[in-house]
Amino acid sequence: MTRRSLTAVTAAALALGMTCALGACEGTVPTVNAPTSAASATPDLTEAQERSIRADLLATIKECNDTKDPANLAQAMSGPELEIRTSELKVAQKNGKLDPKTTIPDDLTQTVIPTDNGWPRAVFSITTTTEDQQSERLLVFTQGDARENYRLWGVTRLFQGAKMPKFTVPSIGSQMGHEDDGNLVMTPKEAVTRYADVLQNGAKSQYANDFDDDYFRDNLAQLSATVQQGMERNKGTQQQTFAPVDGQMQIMRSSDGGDLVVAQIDSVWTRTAGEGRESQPASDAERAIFADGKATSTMKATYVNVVAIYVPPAKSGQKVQAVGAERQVVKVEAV
Amino acid sequence: MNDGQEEETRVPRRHPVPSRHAKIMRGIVTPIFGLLAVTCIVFGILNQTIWKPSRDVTAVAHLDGTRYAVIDPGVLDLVDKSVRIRADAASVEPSAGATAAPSDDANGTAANDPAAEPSTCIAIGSPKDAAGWLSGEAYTRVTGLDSWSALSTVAEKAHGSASTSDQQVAFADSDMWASTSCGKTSAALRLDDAKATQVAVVDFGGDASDATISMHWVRQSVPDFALPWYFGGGLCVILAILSASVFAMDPETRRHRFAKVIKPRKEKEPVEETTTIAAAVAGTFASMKPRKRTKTANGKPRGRHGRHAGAAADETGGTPQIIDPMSRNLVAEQARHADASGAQDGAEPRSTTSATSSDEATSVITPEELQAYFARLVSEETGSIPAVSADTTTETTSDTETTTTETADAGAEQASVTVESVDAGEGTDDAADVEPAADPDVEPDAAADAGSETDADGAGDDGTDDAPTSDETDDMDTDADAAADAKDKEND
Repeated sequence: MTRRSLTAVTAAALALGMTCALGACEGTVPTVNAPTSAASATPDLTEAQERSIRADLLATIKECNDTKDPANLAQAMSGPELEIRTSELKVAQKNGKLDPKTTIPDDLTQTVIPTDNGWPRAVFSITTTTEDQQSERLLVFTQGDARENYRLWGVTRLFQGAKMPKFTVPSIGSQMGHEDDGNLVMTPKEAVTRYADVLQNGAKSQYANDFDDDYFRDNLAQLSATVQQGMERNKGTQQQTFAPVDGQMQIMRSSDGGDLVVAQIDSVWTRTAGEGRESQPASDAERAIFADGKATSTMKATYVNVVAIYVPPAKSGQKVQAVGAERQVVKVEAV
Repeated sequence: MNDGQEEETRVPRRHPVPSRHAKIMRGIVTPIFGLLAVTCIVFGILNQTIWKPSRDVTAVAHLDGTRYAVIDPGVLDLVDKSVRIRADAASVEPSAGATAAPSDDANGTAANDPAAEPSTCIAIGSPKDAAGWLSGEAYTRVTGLDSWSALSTVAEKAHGSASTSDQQVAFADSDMWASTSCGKTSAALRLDDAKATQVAVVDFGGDASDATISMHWVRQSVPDFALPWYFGGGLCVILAILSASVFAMDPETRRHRFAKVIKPRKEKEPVEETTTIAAAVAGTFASMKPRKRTKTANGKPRGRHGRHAGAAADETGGTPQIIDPMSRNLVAEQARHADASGAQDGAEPRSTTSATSSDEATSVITPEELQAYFARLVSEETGSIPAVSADTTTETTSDTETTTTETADAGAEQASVTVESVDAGEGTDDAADVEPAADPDVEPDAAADAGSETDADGAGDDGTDDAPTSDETDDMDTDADAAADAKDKEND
């Protein structure tokens, strides 16, 4: 009797246990599908990320502007813009106020985000016009390394009426270009070198006809001519040399196949006064940078130029066109 | 007679006590199904309530001696889009040159402060950014779920070389991460809309010992295990009911009943009705085959082209009729001619009867009813003859009528030509008599034909010379001519 009831209890327990095991399952464990993200390139940043990065950087820059202290600038800037803004802050320290050209608007008209996997990466952003109706700024942010953050590498003021190439929307992302991109009127590297030659030699340059006229080139030629006149009066000489800086070039491919190239071109302006005169700084900025330096007969002013050049595709039949530029004296010395 | 036989065979089967078959079905099978149904429903309820799969899924991975961990793409949203990640480290040994401390301001000042306390951080980013950050580093990959409570992990070393930049920022300060969360030795991050393309990078700030990474999902859709049980339960209920009722019946009785319902007039023996499976299959296939047309007695198919079919029948049968039911009281005539007509005509009824007799096999009308119907039909048809053949001779009229109806289009041209050229007046006179009885559509042609052809056949000979129309017309036309010729001979 007891054995029978024991068997019954055991059987019941077993049945209950089995049914419980049967009933209380959670379903099959899901498996990971192989991600397909590798097939389609995704933008390196979202627009929101770009906005936040830019806001942070501009906040840091504003702090530096307000204190006119370039000490913390390196956190937010790199490349030519670091040199330029440092100089601009030095000028501001002397002159009491920052040049209006240093203004960077907070709002954007367009941002161009790359899809490239590697580093360095560059993001091109075009701001709105400033409150005092200065032209739009082309900002170039770069990230040199995965463990670095984006910093403002270059700022150029776009020329009035300059025709900018079209870029893919940031949600899709653009491709970064290379110095030696083919299928263009000329490679970006050539374009920068030749543009430097055109800046140096003006209409006499062998490449003068490869480039459309632009505001920066005309302005420089005009300045050079004016200074030349003055120099000739006192039998002085002036010479300005332009040289692209190796590695300081950011390129973004436009949707029509062309490259928008932003490059640093350093220039050295050597002016020698004749007839035993002293050579003086040529502008307020030069004067501020020169500060209390002792003038001699020869003055050498080093400028950092950042130019934005659009190199159209080879089949377009267009000339290379400079669309924006920035120029700032960074060093003035008497030799 | 048949009914009587059926009664006899059925009576002894009607026992007051149920058969053994019924006993088994009702006593064993039905309770089994019932029990199964109850079990299923109980399990369904249990699955819907206390055994319901948990909405919360928490899976844990244990790591040791590693600084970085990466949750693979596709793992964050593996169970649900809403996920909470938690990283805990029992102790962290600061690695040399650690740049782990998050800074309050995003300017990267922490990067310049390597002495800061190591901290545990979780960041969400893209796979390429994670790979970039981790280049040259050893890390642990979380590749998925081993079970509902355990994450599967793989130890890996990233390609590339570690960054040598002097502008390195702290892990948490990197621009690349969509979101970050940090804590001293543990960090938790909640993601409401995890995407398959996202990865999570965990940085313990140094080599962590006895660390855990747990992922917690709240499932929005839980698998429903109750519904199949309910379905099974329902099925068992139906089976139980069926086995207590239909299946419990004696197979023969059941078949009888159904047979009676479906074919109440079946004359065959009940034994013969039981069909074998082979026969049933064969029958099924046979029904799929195109069925042979049943033919009329004269060998012509009962076509759907009434005109042609009718003509064909008439050619062989001899005496077609034109009946205009509008102009006559058929019932009265039927009564009048009921007796006389029965023996009068042989040809027409014969064709009709033979036609209908082929239908007899499938009809549900008793022979007696059929007989009565035929009688009625015959009387109708014979009664109609005098009305039509009132003015013309029976045979010729009917012949011409039918040929014209058949060749209406072709004959019409010829007829109209001949009528106009030869003797329209006489034609119309003749036709006038036939008109009221004739079908309105056929009437003008028929009339014209009847009139013109009888009279104008001499002219028709003339017409053959100058009749390009007849040359052009097709076979049917020549048929008409032949018929007309035959009729001419008769007239002569």
